[in-house]
Amino acid sequence: MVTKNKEYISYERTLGMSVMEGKGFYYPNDTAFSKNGKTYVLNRSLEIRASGRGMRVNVCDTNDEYYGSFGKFGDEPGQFMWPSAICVDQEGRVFISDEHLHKIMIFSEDGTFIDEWGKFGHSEGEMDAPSGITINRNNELLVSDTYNNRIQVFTLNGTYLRSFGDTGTIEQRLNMPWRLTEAPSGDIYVADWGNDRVVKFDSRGQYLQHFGKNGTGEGEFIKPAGVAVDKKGRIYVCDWGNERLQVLDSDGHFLQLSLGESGISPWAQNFLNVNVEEGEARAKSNLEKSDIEYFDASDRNEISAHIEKYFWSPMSVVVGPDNRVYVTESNRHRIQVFSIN
Amino acid sequence: MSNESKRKLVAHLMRRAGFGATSAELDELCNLDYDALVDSLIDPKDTSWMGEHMVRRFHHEQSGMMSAYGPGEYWLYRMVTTKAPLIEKMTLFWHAIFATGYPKVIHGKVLSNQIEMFRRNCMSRLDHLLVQLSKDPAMIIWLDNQENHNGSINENYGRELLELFSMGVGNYSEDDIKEAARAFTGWTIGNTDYMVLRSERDSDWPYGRIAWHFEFKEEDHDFGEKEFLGERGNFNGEEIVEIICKQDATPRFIARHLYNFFVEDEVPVPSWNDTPPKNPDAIEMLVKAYFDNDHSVKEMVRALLKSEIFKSESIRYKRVKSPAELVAGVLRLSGHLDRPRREMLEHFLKMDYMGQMLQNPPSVEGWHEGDEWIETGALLERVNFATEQLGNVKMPGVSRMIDGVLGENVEINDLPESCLRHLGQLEVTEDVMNILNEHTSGDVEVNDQNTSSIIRLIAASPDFQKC
Repeated sequence: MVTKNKEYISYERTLGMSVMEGKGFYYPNDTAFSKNGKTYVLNRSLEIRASGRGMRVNVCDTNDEYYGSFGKFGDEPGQFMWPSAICVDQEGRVFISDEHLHKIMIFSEDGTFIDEWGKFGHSEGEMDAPSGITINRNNELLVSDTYNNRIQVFTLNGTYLRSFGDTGTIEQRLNMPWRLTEAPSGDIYVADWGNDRVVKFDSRGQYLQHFGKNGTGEGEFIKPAGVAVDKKGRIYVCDWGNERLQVLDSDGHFLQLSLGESGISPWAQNFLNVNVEEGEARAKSNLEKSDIEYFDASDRNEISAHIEKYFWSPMSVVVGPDNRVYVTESNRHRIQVFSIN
Repeated sequence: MSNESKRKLVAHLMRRAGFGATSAELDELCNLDYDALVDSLIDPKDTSWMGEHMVRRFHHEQSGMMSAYGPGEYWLYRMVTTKAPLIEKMTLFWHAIFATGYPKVIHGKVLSNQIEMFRRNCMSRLDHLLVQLSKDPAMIIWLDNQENHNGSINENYGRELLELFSMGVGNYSEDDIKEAARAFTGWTIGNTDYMVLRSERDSDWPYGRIAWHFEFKEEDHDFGEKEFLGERGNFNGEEIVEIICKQDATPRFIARHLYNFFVEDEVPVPSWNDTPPKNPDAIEMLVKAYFDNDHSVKEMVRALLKSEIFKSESIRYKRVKSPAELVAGVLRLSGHLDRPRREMLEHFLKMDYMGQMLQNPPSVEGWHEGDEWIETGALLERVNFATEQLGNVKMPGVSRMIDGVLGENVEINDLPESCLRHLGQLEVTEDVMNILNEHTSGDVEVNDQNTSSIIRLIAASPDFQKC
């Protein structure tokens, strides 16, 4: 039941800051948690071949400890060019998809490259821009095969098992899916980016239902990027094109939305404490001005570009092992953390 | 007018008022009356392009725009995939005049927003465009207007507004510059101190760059009386622009820029005060269009594109394509950007190697255009880029061209003409045609490979560098 005015999530804190190397993120696009308490943050960074700086996986934890990074730019085995998603298996191995190189890479929990697999194409087992990935309870890797408009299921070492999302009625078919998740119930939820909705499949890939449609209203989406489901079955959607997070009940009914309300993270505060001139200039500023004249006052992308606390390009939402909601924002190089009420 | 003449005229229009057209596009466009086609370019019903969401999903830097490259790559996507090419062309026109660059602004997002401002106002009343320009955050920082205070003026913006943006040298005095500067005191950006740290260190803004916004600081504005271009009053910035736009020199200056951009290369701007325009009649026509239509840039462009001066065969292939025009035109033909491509950065950097990095002009005067685009190193880059793209049979656009040529079942002697048609009804000089004919003489067959070779030869020709 929807309880009016109830807060289903509350902003708690922010992780990270913008740094090209070392302790910080640079265009982070996905976050994963391992059983050993580590948080892995995938950074897309810039595309400059000459340097490839900033493209890496950060290893940290939810208490702001930073342990280092691994991975680098390139097209050799174990290197990435358009890293798109990250997840961790039961053994702590880290999986990363690359939507330019059409491959899945596997790293040990300390970042040592183990193996990679994947091939460009449109046939069974081939991929065209693998984006979202997740590992289900059967230790199978599910891949959003973006331009093939389907989800493909593989063993963890890359043996093709099955696919879904590209058959059935038009209503049941995906259009450029992005991220996906396995709910505690075992059902699969897909951010059906091109169709502005979330689609729910059963664990074998049978279409069950979809939520939302194109729009800016409650329960409507513009190009959703990611989806997560908590133990209660509540659904969290990165409504990327609307620059917001939406909370739905297990039947897909709207509960709450957040535009983001980031404060200063401990890493950022530390920087501002050390760099006094920047800190003082910032302290004198009003970063939440409400009277800015925009070309288009309804353009959430432009508003988020001006108002720092708002989500700007929220690309991934994950329910962490601590039962908190982690929203990774690419353009603001941070993760906003929400508690579940 | 014969069908072939009409097709050549439409192809000329699309090269100058757009980035060229494919053979299939020309087939469709030729169904329209010429004047109606011009009208549809000026007021396009379909302004769609690949789309912001597609680009931002795959190119994250083109979303956050921290670096120097993101805004230009994003803009190149629009040039290549837009259904409204004249809008992008006019945006490019103003960018070259109101040239603003990354090295001083160090903020890709605000440079991209300036381009969006041009896109929205490129054919508005000139008065409106100049007021928007004066309020543009990137321009304010580029010309130091945040340092222009009541009682302590900074003349940079006032000077360039008159010299480079509206009237041209010789039409105002040094006192006019000072008075204009006084009128623009207090025109700055919000949170000035924090936003102008001028640091390349991203962590100065721990969550990435915050977009800038215009702010009028009343307490820093000089409300006193000013004397400007012979008029006296307590002018503010808007009123200064209004006075500028009433001057005869203003549309003459803009008209010469339009003639240079759409018709034929003029001498560089610094010589305009001493060198008469190449076609004074064209300038008079455009000045009249300006004053007859309430200072409308749109009506100046419409008058020019519909004029016999523009349609004349004598001016075709006389302009050297700018790197942006060349790269966007080749990519439209090759069809490489049928989806967001990781190689976009390399395409963008090609423009830089050819001498034009968008949003990074060599100075406030913009780029030196015309024949100056063709220096040895740049020419090699230009030819290599065109031949690599159009010589690649895997490119969807190239594949379509080859299929189109082969579908005509032409004899080998007609292969060059057929390839020229499919490259957008191009024309080449006799010398180039002789070379093409040499490659299609004897026992040569009309097949994929030979068609591709002829397309590549045309792309390597001097004629391909011009429009």
